[in-house]
Amino acid sequence: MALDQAFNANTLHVLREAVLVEAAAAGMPDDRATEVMLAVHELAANAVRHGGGTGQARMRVVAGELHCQVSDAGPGSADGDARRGDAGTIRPWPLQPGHGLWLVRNAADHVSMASGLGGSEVTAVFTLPGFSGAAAGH
Amino acid sequence: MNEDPQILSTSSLSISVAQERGYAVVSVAGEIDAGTEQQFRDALTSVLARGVLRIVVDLAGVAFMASAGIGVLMGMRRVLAEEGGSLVLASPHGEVAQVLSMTGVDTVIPMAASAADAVARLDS
Repeated sequence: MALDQAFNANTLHVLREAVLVEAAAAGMPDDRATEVMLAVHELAANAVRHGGGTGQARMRVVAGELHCQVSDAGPGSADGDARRGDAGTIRPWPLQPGHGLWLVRNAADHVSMASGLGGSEVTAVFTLPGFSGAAAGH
Repeated sequence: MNEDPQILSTSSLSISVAQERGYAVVSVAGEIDAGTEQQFRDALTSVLARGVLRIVVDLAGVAFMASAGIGVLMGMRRVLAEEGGSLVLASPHGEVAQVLSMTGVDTVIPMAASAADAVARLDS
Protein backbone atom coordinates (compact mmCIF):
# COMPACT_ATOMS: atom_id res chain seq x y z
CA MET A 1 0.00 0.00 0.00
CA ALA A 2 1.17 3.48 -0.65
CA LEU A 3 -0.21 6.94 -1.05
CA ASP A 4 0.47 9.25 -3.95
CA GLN A 5 -1.81 12.23 -3.91
CA ALA A 6 -1.81 15.72 -5.34
CA PHE A 7 -3.13 18.53 -3.19
CA ASN A 8 -3.87 22.22 -3.15
CA ALA A 9 -5.29 24.61 -0.57
CA ASN A 10 -8.79 23.31 -1.13
CA THR A 11 -7.92 19.66 -0.70
CA LEU A 12 -5.73 19.73 2.40
CA HIS A 13 -8.54 18.23 4.46
CA VAL A 14 -8.88 15.39 1.95
CA LEU A 15 -5.15 14.80 2.19
CA ARG A 16 -5.32 14.74 5.98
CA GLU A 17 -7.96 12.03 5.93
CA ALA A 18 -5.97 9.98 3.45
CA VAL A 19 -2.81 10.33 5.52
CA LEU A 20 -4.60 9.15 8.67
CA VAL A 21 -5.91 6.10 6.84
CA GLU A 22 -2.53 5.34 5.33
CA ALA A 23 -0.66 5.75 8.60
CA ALA A 24 -3.10 3.45 10.38
CA ALA A 25 -2.82 0.91 7.57
CA ALA A 26 0.96 1.01 7.93
CA GLY A 27 0.56 0.06 11.57
CA MET A 28 0.78 3.36 13.39
CA PRO A 29 -1.24 3.58 16.59
CA ASP A 30 -3.89 6.32 16.63
CA ASP A 31 -1.84 8.92 18.49
CA ARG A 32 1.14 8.47 16.24
CA ALA A 33 -1.05 8.46 13.13
CA THR A 34 -2.37 11.84 14.20
CA GLU A 35 1.19 13.14 14.49
CA VAL A 36 1.98 11.84 11.02
CA MET A 37 -1.12 13.59 9.74
CA LEU A 38 -0.19 16.86 11.46
CA ALA A 39 3.32 16.72 10.04
CA VAL A 40 2.18 16.03 6.50
CA HIS A 41 -0.40 18.80 6.81
CA GLU A 42 2.30 21.29 7.80
CA LEU A 43 4.53 20.28 4.92
CA ALA A 44 1.62 20.46 2.51
CA ALA A 45 0.52 23.85 3.86
CA ASN A 46 4.07 25.11 3.31
CA ALA A 47 4.00 23.79 -0.22
CA VAL A 48 0.72 25.56 -0.87
CA ARG A 49 2.01 28.79 0.58
CA HIS A 50 5.49 28.85 -0.86
CA GLY A 51 5.53 26.25 -3.55
CA GLY A 52 3.16 27.61 -6.08
CA GLY A 53 -0.13 26.52 -4.57
CA THR A 54 0.00 22.81 -5.26
CA GLY A 55 2.08 19.81 -4.35
CA GLN A 56 2.30 16.07 -4.20
CA ALA A 57 2.29 13.87 -1.12
CA ARG A 58 3.67 10.35 -1.12
CA MET A 59 3.78 7.80 1.67
CA ARG A 60 5.40 4.42 1.65
CA VAL A 61 6.83 1.93 4.09
CA VAL A 62 10.56 1.33 3.81
CA ALA A 63 12.28 -1.13 6.13
CA GLY A 64 10.11 -0.54 9.15
CA GLU A 65 9.76 3.16 8.57
CA LEU A 66 6.94 5.23 7.19
CA HIS A 67 8.34 7.72 4.70
CA CYS A 68 6.19 10.76 4.03
CA GLN A 69 7.40 12.90 1.19
CA VAL A 70 5.89 16.22 0.21
CA SER A 71 7.11 17.96 -2.90
CA ASP A 72 6.23 21.06 -4.81
CA ALA A 73 7.34 22.53 -8.07
CA GLY A 74 8.47 25.88 -6.73
CA PRO A 75 8.74 28.82 -7.15
CA GLY A 76 9.80 28.60 -3.54
CA SER A 77 9.63 31.48 -1.18
CA ALA A 78 11.77 33.89 -3.14
CA ASP A 79 10.00 36.81 -1.54
CA GLY A 80 10.22 35.28 1.89
CA ASP A 81 7.59 35.52 4.50
CA ALA A 82 6.84 39.13 3.84
CA ARG A 83 4.03 39.54 6.32
CA ARG A 84 4.50 42.17 8.93
CA GLY A 85 2.29 43.40 11.68
CA ASP A 86 -0.68 45.14 10.16
CA ALA A 87 -0.78 48.84 10.76
CA GLY A 88 -3.67 49.63 13.02
CA THR A 89 -3.54 46.56 15.19
CA ILE A 90 -2.53 47.00 18.78
CA ARG A 91 0.97 45.79 18.08
CA PRO A 92 2.63 43.46 15.62
CA TRP A 93 1.89 39.86 16.30
CA PRO A 94 4.91 37.72 16.92
CA LEU A 95 5.68 36.24 13.57
CA GLN A 96 7.01 32.74 13.75
CA PRO A 97 7.16 31.32 10.27
CA GLY A 98 9.18 28.37 11.54
CA HIS A 99 6.30 26.94 13.53
CA GLY A 100 5.22 24.45 10.95
CA LEU A 101 8.60 22.91 10.33
CA TRP A 102 9.31 22.87 14.02
CA LEU A 103 6.20 20.81 14.50
CA VAL A 104 7.29 18.42 11.76
CA ARG A 105 10.72 18.00 13.33
CA ASN A 106 9.11 17.41 16.67
CA ALA A 107 6.76 14.75 15.34
CA ALA A 108 9.03 12.87 12.99
CA ASP A 109 12.00 10.66 13.82
CA HIS A 110 13.96 12.12 10.95
CA VAL A 111 13.44 14.90 8.42
CA SER A 112 15.37 15.54 5.25
CA MET A 113 14.99 18.35 2.76
CA ALA A 114 16.13 19.19 -0.69
CA SER A 115 15.32 22.18 -2.79
CA GLY A 116 16.41 23.64 -6.04
CA LEU A 117 15.13 25.31 -9.13
CA GLY A 118 12.67 22.51 -9.69
CA GLY A 119 10.98 23.01 -6.36
CA SER A 120 11.44 21.49 -2.96
CA GLU A 121 11.01 18.12 -1.40
CA VAL A 122 10.76 17.25 2.26
CA THR A 123 10.69 13.74 3.64
CA ALA A 124 9.56 13.04 7.18
CA VAL A 125 10.35 9.58 8.46
CA PHE A 126 8.41 7.85 11.23
CA THR A 127 9.63 4.60 12.74
CA LEU A 128 6.89 2.01 12.83
CA PRO A 129 6.15 0.34 16.14
CA GLY A 130 8.28 -2.72 16.75
CA PHE A 131 11.11 -1.61 14.50
CA SER A 132 12.99 0.71 16.83
CA GLY A 133 14.85 -2.03 18.64
CA ALA A 134 12.93 -1.21 21.78
CA ALA A 135 9.83 -3.06 22.88
CA ALA A 136 6.82 -2.23 20.76
CA GLY A 137 4.28 0.08 22.31
CA HIS A 138 5.17 2.70 24.82
CA MET B 1 1.38 41.11 -0.24
CA ASN B 2 2.36 37.59 -1.06
CA GLU B 3 -0.63 36.36 0.85
CA ASP B 4 -3.35 35.61 -1.61
CA PRO B 5 -6.52 35.02 0.38
CA GLN B 6 -7.99 33.23 -2.62
CA ILE B 7 -5.27 30.65 -2.40
CA LEU B 8 -5.18 30.16 1.32
CA SER B 9 -8.86 30.37 2.19
CA THR B 10 -10.12 26.84 2.14
CA SER B 11 -12.94 27.44 4.53
CA SER B 12 -13.99 29.88 7.16
CA LEU B 13 -14.46 29.72 10.88
CA SER B 14 -17.60 30.44 12.82
CA ILE B 15 -16.60 32.72 15.64
CA SER B 16 -18.84 34.17 18.29
CA VAL B 17 -17.81 36.48 21.08
CA ALA B 18 -19.67 36.69 24.36
CA GLN B 19 -18.50 39.76 26.18
CA GLU B 20 -19.20 39.67 29.87
CA ARG B 21 -18.23 41.98 32.66
CA GLY B 22 -14.44 41.89 32.73
CA TYR B 23 -13.88 39.06 30.30
CA ALA B 24 -14.88 37.63 26.94
CA VAL B 25 -15.48 34.09 25.73
CA VAL B 26 -14.49 33.62 22.11
CA SER B 27 -16.11 30.46 20.74
CA VAL B 28 -14.60 29.04 17.59
CA ALA B 29 -15.93 26.36 15.26
CA GLY B 30 -14.16 24.97 12.22
CA GLU B 31 -10.60 24.17 11.27
CA ILE B 32 -7.80 26.55 12.22
CA ASP B 33 -5.03 26.37 9.65
CA ALA B 34 -3.20 28.72 7.30
CA GLY B 35 -6.46 29.40 5.46
CA THR B 36 -8.34 30.58 8.54
CA GLU B 37 -5.48 31.89 10.66
CA GLN B 38 -6.13 35.50 9.73
CA GLN B 39 -9.81 35.29 10.63
CA PHE B 40 -8.93 33.76 13.99
CA ARG B 41 -6.30 36.42 14.69
CA ASP B 42 -8.62 39.23 13.62
CA ALA B 43 -11.35 38.03 15.95
CA LEU B 44 -9.00 37.95 18.92
CA THR B 45 -7.44 41.27 17.99
CA SER B 46 -10.84 42.94 17.88
CA VAL B 47 -11.60 41.67 21.38
CA LEU B 48 -8.27 43.08 22.58
CA ALA B 49 -9.00 46.34 20.81
CA ARG B 50 -12.09 46.72 22.98
CA GLY B 51 -9.83 46.66 26.00
CA VAL B 52 -10.78 43.16 27.12
CA LEU B 53 -7.69 41.52 28.58
CA ARG B 54 -9.20 38.40 30.15
CA ILE B 55 -10.10 36.01 27.38
CA VAL B 56 -11.35 32.45 27.13
CA VAL B 57 -10.98 30.78 23.75
CA ASP B 58 -13.51 27.95 23.55
CA LEU B 59 -12.25 25.27 21.18
CA ALA B 60 -15.20 22.90 21.58
CA GLY B 61 -16.12 23.34 17.93
CA VAL B 62 -12.59 23.03 16.57
CA ALA B 63 -11.80 19.66 15.04
CA PHE B 64 -8.37 20.51 13.65
CA MET B 65 -5.64 22.99 14.50
CA ALA B 66 -2.41 23.36 12.56
CA SER B 67 0.70 25.30 13.53
CA ALA B 68 -0.92 28.43 12.14
CA GLY B 69 -3.43 28.28 14.99
CA ILE B 70 -0.71 27.53 17.52
CA GLY B 71 1.10 30.67 16.36
CA VAL B 72 -1.98 32.81 16.92
CA LEU B 73 -2.56 31.39 20.40
CA MET B 74 1.06 31.84 21.44
CA GLY B 75 1.04 35.39 20.08
CA MET B 76 -2.13 36.09 22.00
CA ARG B 77 -0.64 34.65 25.16
CA ARG B 78 2.40 36.90 24.83
CA VAL B 79 0.40 40.03 24.20
CA LEU B 80 -1.92 39.34 27.12
CA ALA B 81 1.00 38.54 29.42
CA GLU B 82 2.61 41.86 28.52
CA GLU B 83 -0.64 43.70 29.13
CA GLY B 84 -1.32 41.99 32.43
CA GLY B 85 -4.19 39.99 31.01
CA SER B 86 -5.11 36.33 31.07
CA LEU B 87 -5.84 33.64 28.49
CA VAL B 88 -7.41 30.22 29.10
CA LEU B 89 -8.36 27.63 26.51
CA ALA B 90 -11.58 25.70 26.94
CA SER B 91 -12.60 22.26 25.73
CA PRO B 92 -9.67 21.20 23.53
CA HIS B 93 -10.34 17.65 22.36
CA GLY B 94 -9.17 14.94 20.00
CA GLU B 95 -6.55 16.01 17.49
CA VAL B 96 -6.59 19.57 18.82
CA ALA B 97 -5.72 18.40 22.33
CA GLN B 98 -2.96 16.28 20.84
CA VAL B 99 -1.35 19.08 18.88
CA LEU B 100 -1.51 21.38 21.91
CA SER B 101 0.23 18.73 23.96
CA MET B 102 2.74 17.85 21.27
CA THR B 103 3.81 21.47 20.87
CA GLY B 104 3.94 22.11 24.60
CA VAL B 105 1.28 24.81 24.39
CA ASP B 106 -0.60 23.02 27.15
CA THR B 107 2.27 23.77 29.51
CA VAL B 108 2.20 27.53 28.96
CA ILE B 109 -1.49 28.30 28.38
CA PRO B 110 -3.95 27.05 31.00
CA MET B 111 -6.66 24.69 29.77
CA ALA B 112 -10.04 23.77 31.15
CA ALA B 113 -12.60 21.15 30.29
CA SER B 114 -15.43 23.61 29.75
CA ALA B 115 -15.95 27.30 29.11
CA ALA B 116 -17.34 27.75 32.61
CA ASP B 117 -14.27 26.10 34.13
CA ALA B 118 -12.05 28.22 31.91
CA VAL B 119 -13.70 31.43 33.11
CA ALA B 120 -13.07 30.32 36.67
CA ARG B 121 -9.38 29.88 35.85
CA LEU B 122 -8.88 33.38 34.43
CA ASP B 123 -6.49 35.40 36.55
CA SER B 124 -8.30 38.15 38.36
